[in-house]
Amino acid sequence: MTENIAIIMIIVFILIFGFIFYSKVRTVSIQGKLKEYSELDLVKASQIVSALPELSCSSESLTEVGCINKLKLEAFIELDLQQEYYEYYRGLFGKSKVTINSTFPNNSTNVGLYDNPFEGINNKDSIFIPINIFDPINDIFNFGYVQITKYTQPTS
Amino acid sequence: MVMLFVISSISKQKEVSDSDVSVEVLQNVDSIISTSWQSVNTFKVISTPKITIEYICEDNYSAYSVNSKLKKIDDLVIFSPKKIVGKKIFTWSKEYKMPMKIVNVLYLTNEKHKYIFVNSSESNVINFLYNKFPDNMTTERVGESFELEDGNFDTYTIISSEDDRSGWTIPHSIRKKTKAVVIETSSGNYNYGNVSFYSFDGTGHLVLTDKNFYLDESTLFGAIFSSDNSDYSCTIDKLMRKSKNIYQIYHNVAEKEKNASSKSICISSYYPMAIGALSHLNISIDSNDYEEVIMFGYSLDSSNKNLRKYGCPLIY
Repeated sequence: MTENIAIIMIIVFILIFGFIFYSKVRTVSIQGKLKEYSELDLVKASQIVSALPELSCSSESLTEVGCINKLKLEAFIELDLQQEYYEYYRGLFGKSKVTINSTFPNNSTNVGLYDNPFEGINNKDSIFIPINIFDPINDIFNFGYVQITKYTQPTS
Repeated sequence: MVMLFVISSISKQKEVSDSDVSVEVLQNVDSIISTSWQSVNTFKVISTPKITIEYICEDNYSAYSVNSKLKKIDDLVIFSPKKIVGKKIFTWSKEYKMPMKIVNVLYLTNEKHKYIFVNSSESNVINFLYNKFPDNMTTERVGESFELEDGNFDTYTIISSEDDRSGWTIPHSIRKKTKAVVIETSSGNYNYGNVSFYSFDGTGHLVLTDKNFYLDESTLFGAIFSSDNSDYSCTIDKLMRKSKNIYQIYHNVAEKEKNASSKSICISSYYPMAIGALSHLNISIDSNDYEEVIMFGYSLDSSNKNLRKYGCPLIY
């Protein structure tokens, strides 16, 4: 009788141990997947930002790659994304932050295009895309970068 | 009890694993679609495991599902049949310009969707469309009188420019899967006109279900790939919402350029003309007057060309 109870207890112990071990492995695997999807989203967001016709430099409809028109940028900020336009760009960028900064020859442009974090604590992953910022009035180019930060919620 | 625990764990695990695979497939298809959307005028054939893609567009909501897993798509403008089943996806994209680039438009289909071009003698628009259609798609060119064969395709879309359908013979077995898109160009100009959508009713007659407007080549192809007015008009509404954002931005850009410009001809004539055209574009969209959208598009284009002529900063 005691032997039987001991065997059952060992089996139950092995099952519980196996279950805990499997749960841990699965949690790590899910976290890895979340990280992978978040990185994919980041790459996708970077493609979207660099191809947005409402920001890109263009000449008679021909879009220049890796170039942002300073006037379009200012006009975009004036749209005030808290209003009716917010829904559209929220669908586009989701939980992220997009900023545009100029670095050379001057760092006059430092603007936040969009910011939509989770409430509370956020994990952040960033990607930087080098760009030109073109001022069509003065016909001047500035080097700069777009920083896209993807927010994710911490997993417990 | 132990056995019960083990069996329920295995069964639960199978569900989780199936769900994981579906999510993985959805992520991969999403990446493929996003990449295809960026490559304008590029036709791609993508091999996948056997999947079912369903496209949903309703009011302000649009999404596609891959094996029943939904993905919301606020950013993409997609024209597609309602359902694509198979191991291949065909993607093709074009730019929608009015007159500046607004967005890339993506078309989705596969080899199981057949497109039949009815080529009447005086109909050049059908020749034009047929020649522009990617070679790898399942197409057929037929004369005014034809008999469609049941080739076991998922859908059949007949594209014609003639309202006379007396010469069309369509077997009963494929009538439920067959739709027709009849194109009526505006006085010989392919760039805009009307599209009429036909499908078979309960009595086996091909009847007009709806009529709509197309604004350019990209939306004309959109009507063909949707072959259904509810999806087509929903996607066009989405396109118009995006256009409004863009026109508002360009309106502000034009105002800034006007204030900073030093050339009197641009300040007094061309910037105000462009600003007026941009305001009217948004008004025309609000009133669903697509003919006006095209007219003010031309006016804006003309102002932009004049700005270039006089060496003033361009609006676009």
